[in-house]
Amino acid sequence: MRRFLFWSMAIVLLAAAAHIVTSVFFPRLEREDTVAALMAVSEPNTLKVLDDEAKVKEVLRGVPTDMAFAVCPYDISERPISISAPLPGTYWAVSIFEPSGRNIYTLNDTQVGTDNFAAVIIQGEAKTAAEEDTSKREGGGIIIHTTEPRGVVVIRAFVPDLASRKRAHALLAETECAPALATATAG
Amino acid sequence: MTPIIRITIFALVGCAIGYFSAHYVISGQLGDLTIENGSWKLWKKAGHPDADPYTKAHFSLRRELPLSSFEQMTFSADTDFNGGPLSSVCSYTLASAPLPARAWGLSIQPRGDDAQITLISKRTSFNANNVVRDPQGNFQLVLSDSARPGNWLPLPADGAEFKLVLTLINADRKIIEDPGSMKLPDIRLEGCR
Repeated sequence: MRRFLFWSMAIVLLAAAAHIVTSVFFPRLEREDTVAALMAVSEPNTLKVLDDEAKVKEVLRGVPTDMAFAVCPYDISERPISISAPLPGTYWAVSIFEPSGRNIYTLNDTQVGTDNFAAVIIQGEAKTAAEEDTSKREGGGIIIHTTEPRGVVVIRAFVPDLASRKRAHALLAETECAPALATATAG
Repeated sequence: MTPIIRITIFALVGCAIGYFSAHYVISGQLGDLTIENGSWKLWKKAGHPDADPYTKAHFSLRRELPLSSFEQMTFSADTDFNGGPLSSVCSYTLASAPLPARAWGLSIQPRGDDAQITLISKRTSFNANNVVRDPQGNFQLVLSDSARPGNWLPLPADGAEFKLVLTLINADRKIIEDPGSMKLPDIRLEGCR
């Protein structure tokens, strides 16, 4: 009886360990691989419009087909990065992912409130949304804090019909994503 | 039974229980992580910062980076109204009232994560802007591998099984809070060849 209880307990513990590895450890590796593939699309701090549908399917799985995408991997270990983008008048959104896959920021065109989005990503402790709103720069851009020096910005624009796809790509190509000229301080 | 055999059985049984229990939860077959609305399924916590590990694992293993439901809600369906698998040897109709979102898109995608479908047309989706509606805003789609009048969504020519993905962008707050309350398009089987 004691031997049966021992093996039963041992199986439960092993099953629990296998369960955790399957549901936490392997998925985390996959998530990091997914972001790494996205960050390898272009050089750091350089925008890349994903105008090849096969590439979109490869690096951005499961996204709606009626969207056009641009990505900008960034490295702010030396300087903050500045993003500025014209808005298309249809749905548009910017999202920022850390290498771990955590989505630290998402904003869409209606939340921007103007016809141009401007932001600076700097290293520092993340703030609440309300705090971020009050930490505007003089130029009117939003300051986004992240504790991770590297990550990737994903910009998406709605494509109402097949004929509009090229126009959406052209508009995304007007997005600027480069090291910030002005010094933005963390905090 | 020798110790080696005993330990091998122990390891196999333990790992199998752990793996399959995780697999069933991650695929949404166990637990209360998804909402079903007719044929459509939605992962409740997709893209949320406070998502549970299983929801995170579900999307991670599919190599997807979902946004939160405040930004977009993604419903998927791989069965018709009667529970039969969606197959491109059949034809379907989808009838819907106006969808309560700023924009939406409905597309055909391979059923398996790594599966491929052979499309016969560039059109693989309809969205809020290009679908033809009646004066009340209702619309009907026809899914078939042969051309149809109206909102025709061509199905793969290879007889493959597929799934439908409906994405609501900036859905109404009421729908975000209670996705089960929304009337989603019924997927009705017309017939099979």
